[in-house]
Amino acid sequence: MTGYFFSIERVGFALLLTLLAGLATGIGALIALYSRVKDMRFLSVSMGFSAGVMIFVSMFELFGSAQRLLVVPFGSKTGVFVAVAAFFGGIFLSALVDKLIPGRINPHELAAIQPGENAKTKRLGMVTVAAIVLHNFPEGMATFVSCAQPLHVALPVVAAVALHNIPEGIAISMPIFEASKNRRTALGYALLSGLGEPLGALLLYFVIRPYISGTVLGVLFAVVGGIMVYISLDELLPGAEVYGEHHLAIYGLVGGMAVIALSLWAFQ
Amino acid sequence: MMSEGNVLYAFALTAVAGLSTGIGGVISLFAKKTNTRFLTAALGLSAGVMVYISFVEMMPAAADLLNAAYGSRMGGLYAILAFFGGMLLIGVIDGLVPHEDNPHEAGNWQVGERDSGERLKRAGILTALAVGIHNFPEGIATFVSALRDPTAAIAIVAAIAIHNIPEGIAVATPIYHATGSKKKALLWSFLSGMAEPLGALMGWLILMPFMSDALYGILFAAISGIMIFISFDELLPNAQQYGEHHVAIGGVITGMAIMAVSLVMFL
Repeated sequence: MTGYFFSIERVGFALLLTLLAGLATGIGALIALYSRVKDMRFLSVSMGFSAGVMIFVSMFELFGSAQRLLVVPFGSKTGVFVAVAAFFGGIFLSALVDKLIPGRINPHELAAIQPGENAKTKRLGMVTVAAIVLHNFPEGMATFVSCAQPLHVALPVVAAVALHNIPEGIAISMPIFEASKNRRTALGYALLSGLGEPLGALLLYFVIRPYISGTVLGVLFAVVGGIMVYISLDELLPGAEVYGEHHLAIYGLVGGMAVIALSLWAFQ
Repeated sequence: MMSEGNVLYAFALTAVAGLSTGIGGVISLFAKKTNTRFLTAALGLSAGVMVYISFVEMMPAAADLLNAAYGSRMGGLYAILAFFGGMLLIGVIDGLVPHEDNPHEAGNWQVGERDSGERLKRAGILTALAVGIHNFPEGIATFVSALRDPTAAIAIVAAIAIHNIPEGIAVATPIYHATGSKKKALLWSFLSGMAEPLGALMGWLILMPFMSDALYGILFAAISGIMIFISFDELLPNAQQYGEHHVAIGGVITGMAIMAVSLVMFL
């Protein structure tokens, strides 16, 4: 599996999928800036769906793969321990990135960005732009690494990341439009945020390329599992509740889990 | 494996888990002010434990047992059906209980003083019934896991016990405010927890004659579904409602970490 993943075509394909998922922020911005859709309850369902896919795939499939890969070099006890440590390392990494980026400009703290309320966003300095791009690095890495899994696992993850980038695009473009009154600027920032994902993927690829092995891939699967679990709990589920009724979020969540479970089963 | 000692042990664990509603009852009567930060963290912790053990321990075990019994094609399908069947079951039970009385849809646990006595008492008794009904499948879940895997069951018992504490508070608070009787409030909070060992007893009487590896697999998958649904539908939203978002998330991650470490240690 590792040899196949790090073939150049495969890496290119993974980067392309990560780019596509990232640019879904643009869809969110388009909805927010140009459409007359006022009823945002569909976002509840889609964020719940996204969380369902990510949680199921992270804890069941990626974590399982990580354990299988890590038990080979380390033995059953240490191998599982390394997988567990890497999983919580991923959670810690995402939490750290969220912590370092101030809430006001962190698109992951959705509730903090309400349209109309924020006049300060007029001064969008380099720090803000960097933060908007940087905060998506862990997500990009997660998407990229998931693409090392077979397609029936990778595609639902890519879809989940793309879906969750839609509300993110809305969250970024709305306050920027309020401040600048310029639709193109707002759309531009949303796309910039999405570009953080393939950039994060690229960075990860260049860092790990010299050390490629089954062990490294095992650690990465577990880290990425942790990242996606954190995103789901910290951002997606609370966000889903904000946008609509609690039960819509739960239907989305269960639906997401059902899709990934059936996909895993059908293509096993 | 299914000696009398094991069955008694499983019952004892289930009873402990269920009767911790009584702890909630006691807390609500003697605590001057509910410590909501603590409750938030505890609810999150409980969700973390249940989600982790469901995905990492019980679902793989269910898949292994069912694959061995039916082959990987049908075995996998049965595991999926049982998993979502468990979710459907608990979802339907939750739907049948009216919202304001449903302890899983909290937010209205802080009872204002304006409420009239009769209404409060009714709310308390209905809450007790609701807690009792939903504790039934939880009792079966605890009992079955304790029977099959006594070590892992301790974590499940801890998780269920923790989340029964606020349910006990939910029952006791309105009854105490309505009747002014601590005895009645405590009694009802204990009664609502009794459903848990009762569920275990029913599970034992009905399921025992058919017990097999395949049935264990089905039950494990169904219980995973139930626990994951409870965590996301009830525990997490309530934790968020009670306090700061990051306290709740901290609780979830701590719960997962406790589970992970204890599973690695007992491996």
